[in-house]
Amino acid sequence: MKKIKNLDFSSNQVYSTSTMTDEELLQKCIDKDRAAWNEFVRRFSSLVTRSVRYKLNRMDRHLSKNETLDIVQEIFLLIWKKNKLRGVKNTACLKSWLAIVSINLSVNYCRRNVFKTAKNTLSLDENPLAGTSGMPLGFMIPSSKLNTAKTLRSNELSGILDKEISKLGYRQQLVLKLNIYHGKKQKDIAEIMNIPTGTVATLIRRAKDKLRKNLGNALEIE
Amino acid sequence: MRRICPSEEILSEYISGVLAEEDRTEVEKHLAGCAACRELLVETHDIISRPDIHEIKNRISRWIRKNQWLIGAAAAFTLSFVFSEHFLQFLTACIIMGAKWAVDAKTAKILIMIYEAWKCGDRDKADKILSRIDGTEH
Repeated sequence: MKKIKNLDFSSNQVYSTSTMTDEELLQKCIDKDRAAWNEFVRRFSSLVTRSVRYKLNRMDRHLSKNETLDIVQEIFLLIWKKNKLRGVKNTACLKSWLAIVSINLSVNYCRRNVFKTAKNTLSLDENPLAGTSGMPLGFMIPSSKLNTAKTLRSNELSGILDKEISKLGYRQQLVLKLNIYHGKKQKDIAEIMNIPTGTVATLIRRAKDKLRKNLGNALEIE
Repeated sequence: MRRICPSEEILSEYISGVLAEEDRTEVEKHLAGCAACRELLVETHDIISRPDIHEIKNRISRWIRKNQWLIGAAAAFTLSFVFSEHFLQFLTACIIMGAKWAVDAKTAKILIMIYEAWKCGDRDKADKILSRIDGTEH
């Protein structure tokens, strides 16, 4: 009898990769199944591309579509070659793992390749490797003018604030830093830390109360 | 506080809420003092919390491609009432496209596979196909 298209009766495996769950797909990719890997790339290339574009925008790197595609392909190639999926124990964290890997590899890619920014200029307030923790360019270049007393005082206060924040408990520190330094709202902090929003609000309130008290004491001593 | 930054796997487990309690404490102690890891966490959250517009578009276009004959049959059926002077023609088109959709459907293919397996006397294969459909072992 004539074979129906796309069905192979000689094969013992009767499965369609597009209907696989993420768990099944992950396991087959770890086992180096090529069909499963193609489906994995098809399913997650949008997320990886989005992550790469997000990070490049944060770093103020303006790449062409082909260059972005190069980075995405490099990411998938690295995951396949080094079988990095073995480290993913739970498919619940697969998407976040892919986002983290994509961000890190985008940074590495940009460090290896020097790209011109769209403006060809760099502000003194920008970090040459924007998006990573580091000093702004202005801090690196010695000024020919003396710092004003106001700037010195501002730097001093900033140092006192950092010192007082570091005296708080680790949870209060983390919540406060996410709120103040990273501009995240309480709802977002609750999602990141997987705790109730009420707990975040309590931690922030207590941290600010302590800071107010300690900063007041610190400034009085001066 | 951990001095070494947690691995990509640990950070992803942390943000997904599947990390063990003692490991969570260690990671949070590290995050309190490490701006780079905090930045990475914030960026990851920004990416995964946003809806993926491309994926939504792809899903819609895949659904349309999968059910194009059904959509065509529904359109022909509607048009048969709008252009009542061509009622029979549109109704015929609706029946043909509906039949095409039914024949192309996954269910029809599976039934043919089962029939073929039973015809060849391979009951095990037929049972395997059935068990995959309803997720139970026969």
